[in-house]
This record gives sequence, C-alpha cells and structure tokens, in this order.
Amino acid sequence: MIARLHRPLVMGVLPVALIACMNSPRTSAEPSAAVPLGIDLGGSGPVIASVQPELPARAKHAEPEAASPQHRDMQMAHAGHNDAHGTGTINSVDPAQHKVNLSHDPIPEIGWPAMTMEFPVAPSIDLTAIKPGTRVNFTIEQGQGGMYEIKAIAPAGAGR
Amino acid sequence: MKPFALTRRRFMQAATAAGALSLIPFPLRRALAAPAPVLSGTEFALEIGAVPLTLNGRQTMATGVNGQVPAPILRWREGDTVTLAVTNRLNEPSSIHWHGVRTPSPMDGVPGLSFSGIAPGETFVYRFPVHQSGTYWYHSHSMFQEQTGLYGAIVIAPKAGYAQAFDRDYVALLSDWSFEPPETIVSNLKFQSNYYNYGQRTLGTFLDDAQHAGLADTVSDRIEWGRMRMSPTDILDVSGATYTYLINGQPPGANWTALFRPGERVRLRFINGSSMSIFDVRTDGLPMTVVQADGNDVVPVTVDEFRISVAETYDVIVQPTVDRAYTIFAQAEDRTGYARGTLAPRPSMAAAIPPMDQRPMRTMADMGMAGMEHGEMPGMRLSPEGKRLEGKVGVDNIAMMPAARLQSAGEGFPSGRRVLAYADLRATKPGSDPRPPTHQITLHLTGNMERFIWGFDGKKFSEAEPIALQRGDRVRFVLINDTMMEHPIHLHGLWSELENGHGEYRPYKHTINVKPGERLSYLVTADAPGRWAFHCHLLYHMETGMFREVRVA
Repeated sequence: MIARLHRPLVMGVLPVALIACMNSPRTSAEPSAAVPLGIDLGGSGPVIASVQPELPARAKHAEPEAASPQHRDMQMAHAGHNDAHGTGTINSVDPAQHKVNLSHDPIPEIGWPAMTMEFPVAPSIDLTAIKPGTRVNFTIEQGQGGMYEIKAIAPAGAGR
Repeated sequence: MKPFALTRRRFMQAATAAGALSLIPFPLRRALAAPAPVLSGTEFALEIGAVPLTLNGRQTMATGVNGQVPAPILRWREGDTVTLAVTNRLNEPSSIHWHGVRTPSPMDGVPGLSFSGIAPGETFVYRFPVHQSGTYWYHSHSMFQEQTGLYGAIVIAPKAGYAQAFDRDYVALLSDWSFEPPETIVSNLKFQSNYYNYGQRTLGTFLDDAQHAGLADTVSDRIEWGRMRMSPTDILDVSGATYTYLINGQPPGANWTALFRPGERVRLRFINGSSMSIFDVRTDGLPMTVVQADGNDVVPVTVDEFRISVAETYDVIVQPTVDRAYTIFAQAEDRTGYARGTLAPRPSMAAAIPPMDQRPMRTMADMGMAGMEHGEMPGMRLSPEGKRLEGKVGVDNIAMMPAARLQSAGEGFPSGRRVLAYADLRATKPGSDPRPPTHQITLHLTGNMERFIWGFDGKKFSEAEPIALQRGDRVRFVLINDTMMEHPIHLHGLWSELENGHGEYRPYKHTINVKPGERLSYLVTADAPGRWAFHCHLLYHMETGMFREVRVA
C-alpha cells in the first residue's frame, strides 16, 4: 500500500528534480582531479610594431526579422554601399501609394536576378513623368528596415 | 615517456591476446589518457598507433600519436628545418599531412600524390624547412584515421616576434568523436543521406507550417524541396546523434580548463580538427579579438562569435578582467551538440553552459536562388555552365544565381551578436604577388545528396583529370557551390588568397569555406611544383569524390 502510494509521488518528483539540476547554473566547483587543464604555451614576448589600426568592431548580426533571409543575404552582399543601379520597364504607377511596379534586369551589384517588383519611391520624386511601358534607369537605396526604395529614376536612352 | 611506452606495448599485447579493454587496470587507463604533451625542437619521433580512450565513461579504441588523442602539440620555429620520423604501428597504411604548412610536395603526406604512404611497421622521415609561422595542424590523410583521432596541433613561433602581445597561449583543438566506426557512418550516409538528421521536418512541422503559411504554400514549398532532393534542415551530414564533440580531446562534461589571471591577455588557438562538424564558437560573455586566420595575421577584429569550418584555424585574444569563469562554447552548426571548455582563474570552476541557438534553416539564398519568388522557379534560365552540368547523376542542383555572400557570417545566428564574416578578414600586409591573374579556373561544387556522391563539376575524383598549372602561374579560382551543404575547400601546397574586398590585403588561407549558393574567388600563385591535393575537407565528402589533383609542372 505504501509502495503504491509512493510510486506516483516519486515518478512525479524525480523528473522535476532532474530538470532543476540541469537548469541550475553550474558555478559550483567540480571535482578537481577530473578537470583536465590546458597547457599554457607561454606569452608573446616583445611584439613587433603594429602597422595597422584595429578594424572597427563588427556590427551586430542583422535582425532576422528585419527582412526575409534572402533579402538579408542580398543586403549583406552589398553592405557599406546602400544603393544599387538598375534598368527596367515600368508596368504600373501608383501615385496614391507613391509606388511603381517594374520589371528590372539583373542587378549584379546586389546579386538580384531579373524580377518584377514593386518599389516605394522617394517622396521628392515626381511620378507624373513616369508612364507604364517606359524603359527607365533607376537607383535604389536600402532603408532602415532593409527594404529598397527608389531614390532616382529617369527614362533610359531615347528610342527604347 | 619510456615506462609509458613499455606499458603501452604490454597493454597492446594484452589487448590483442584477450581482445578485451576491460582487462586494463584502472591506473594504466588514467596514464594513457594523460593530457597530450607538447613536443618542441627540430627532431621529432612520432608513433602512430591504436590508443585506448575513455570518453563519457565508455571505453573505446582510437588512433593516436605517441599514445595520445589528440596527437601531441608540435612547436616549431620559423626558419628551422624540422625532421619528423613517423612510424606506423597500425595494421593498415597511414600517413601524416601537415595541414597549411608549405612543404616540398614529397613531404606533404598524401598517399598516391606526394608519396606512397607509410606501410605498417615502417618509418617515414619527413624533413623540410619551415618558412612560415602561425597555428596549423597535422592529421592522417589515409582511410578514416582522421575521424578516429589522428590529429594534433602545430604551433610555429614567428621569427620576428608576435604582432600582438599576450600573456598566455592555449591550443583549443575541436573535433568530433563517434563510437561508431567511420565505415559504418559512411555506409549509413550512402544508404540514407539524412540518416543522422533527426531534425528532419515531419508531418507535425508540416501541419504547423500549413497553419502559419497556408496549406497551398506549404505544399508547394515541400514539393520544391522534394524535387531538389534536399531537406531544409540538412545542415551537417553527421550530427550529434552519433558525435561527441571534443575540445582538446575532452567531452563537454570533462570541463577542459584554460587558466588565466584577471587582466591577462590570453591567446586561444582554435583549430577545427573535425571530420564533418562546423562549429560556432564563443567565449560566452567575453568578446574575442581575432588576430589570425589559417596561420596568417589579420588586422584585429573584435567579435562575439565566429564560425569555424572544418580544417580552418582562428587565433583569438581574450582579456578577462573579472575573477570568474567563462564557458568556451562551440556548438555544432546544426545545434545537435557542442564542445565545451572553461576559461577560469582557478581549476575546478565552471560557468553556466548557454542553451544552444536555434537550428539554422537553409533558405532559397542557400540554394543560389536569392531574391527569387517560388513561382519563378520552374523554367528558370540556366547559365551555359549550368547547362553543362545539368542532367549529370552527380549533380542534383545547380545554383541559378550564385551570390557573393562574404559579408554574411552564414545562417543560424541570433540577432545581437557580432559574428565574424569572411569580409572582416584583412591581411596585415599586402600580398607577396602583385600580379593580376592570367587565367581563371571555375569549378562547381556539386553533389547528389540522396546518393551521397560529391564532386567538382559533377565528377568524382576517379573520373576527373588533374588541374594543370605551370610553375609561376597566377590563377584565379572561382568556386560556385551548387549544393546545400557548406564545403571547406583545401588546396595543398599553395596559398589561397581570398578576394574579399580588401584589395591587395587579401587574407591568405589554406581552407576556404564555401557557403551554399555562394560564388567566391581566390588567387593562387603556383610557386611550388608537384602534385597537390585539392579537396573538400569534410572527410566523407572527400572520400566520396570531392577531390582533385592540382599539378604544378
């Protein structure tokens, strides 16, 4: 009877105790005999004069939430220069949202293949001159959120 | 070492006679597991043999040098000529390759290319001048001996002195140990390439995804991955399901410890001597200043974490100022386990072991399809190179739009940590050969994951001609990774100068990790004649075909 009462109790408590053990920070001393110590190969001695300053500490890893993984890699492939140049054909213009939809050629600077995409356009740009079907050269710049915005756009050479 | 050698021989006889490890008396087992000593000087006698090992309370046999796993640390000096007499006490051929060390070709230690290997019972005498300094390592280039423990560190002191001051200096050699024989691992992989991939997406995750992304998208996503014969969680081929990850031969529970006094600068020489495991390394809570990569000085760059691919080395300097312990945490890239050590002011201290990060997921960028919508995938245009590879049995995927990804540290890092990327590596001095390359060699890294066949340009080693270079040639190697795995590509005998945006301050490397879907390039000066191995350093990828000969006439 006692055993029957104890068994569920033990079974209930034991895993909890084990988990508690696993989670407790292991700051206590471990048996010293068991700890293998690294072999110190010694100090550097006198150093030669350093010729270059230290690189700035690497920026924190980008927020995965900021953009899709694909976007993140593209943005990293081009870090340091936030703009890229492309050529494409306007499909539609949305003056209300200040956006254009265009089919662009590959943009090797940022590793993009040819795609059809929608871009927000910088507020300073007058969209009335941009018509569907127009072949354009454009510059895109990456904003804080990692998304690209058109900051310059102009019709490509005449006749196209 | 003398009495030790005797006891070892006696042990070997006993073990052979009785065929049982349990016969070894306990004190002897302890002696055999003593920490690897350091061998210094110019003359070395190294004996390759079977070594009994106790890991996590389990007894096993490993392959070691002078009775030790890892093999002893070898300390050389730049400018010396070293002589190493290597005797093979195994009952199969063996060899030692000095990874990253520029030796004459006959001293490079690759059976079939540089020499015929070391037969059982034979001694081969290596002798070569040491013209470089830094952290390197040595390992067997025969069969699967690298997996069973035949690896050790090489530390070469610079003639002119160190560029960075430090007070203490430790080797941190990472490796992966399996109680399964390597032959079993490779046959399991051939039988089912995701054999060790317990993180494989299941019906349960499918239902989760369907709930979040919608059933149609989820189904099309799965069809996409299925058609490419890959699984998005296939990060490393061999996982913690079989591996115990080691630091200097010690499992996580052993708490290998490097001592410091607060305020001291401690140099840690990380070497990835694994067969198949890529690690993400940090000294938890302590920034690391990377000062050297693959034995060559780089402009110091401070990070929280770095990814070290198989066969790479990174030297970092840390400066703990507080009287506390720090965990050296090296989690396998697929998060199935970790190697762990401790930096501590006194022995027998330990800090909390951080939880492992989220398992990385392969993305479309990893597949060389950055920026593509799923809908665009059918009927994608292939480059002429791609067309050349299409349809080969050894090729199950071709990167449509391989991307420069050197700015990226790779997948699987949480936000808020500074992680080293290849673009951060800047040599401290300009390259020694200012000539532009005269020609370019483009190679696709290819594989058929389901059949576990790996190669360059869809060809296994046995099917391919050597890459021929003329002595003095200046060449650009372009590597395009068409597979979804990372491949640490190692060129023997010649430096690989990574073109990572630093102009003439290209970092000199011996092993270059190519991420999935990545296209990268490096320059090579063919200044050393001979037959050189060129291969993926994932042991089972090399053994299943990702290997070429580079012949410098």
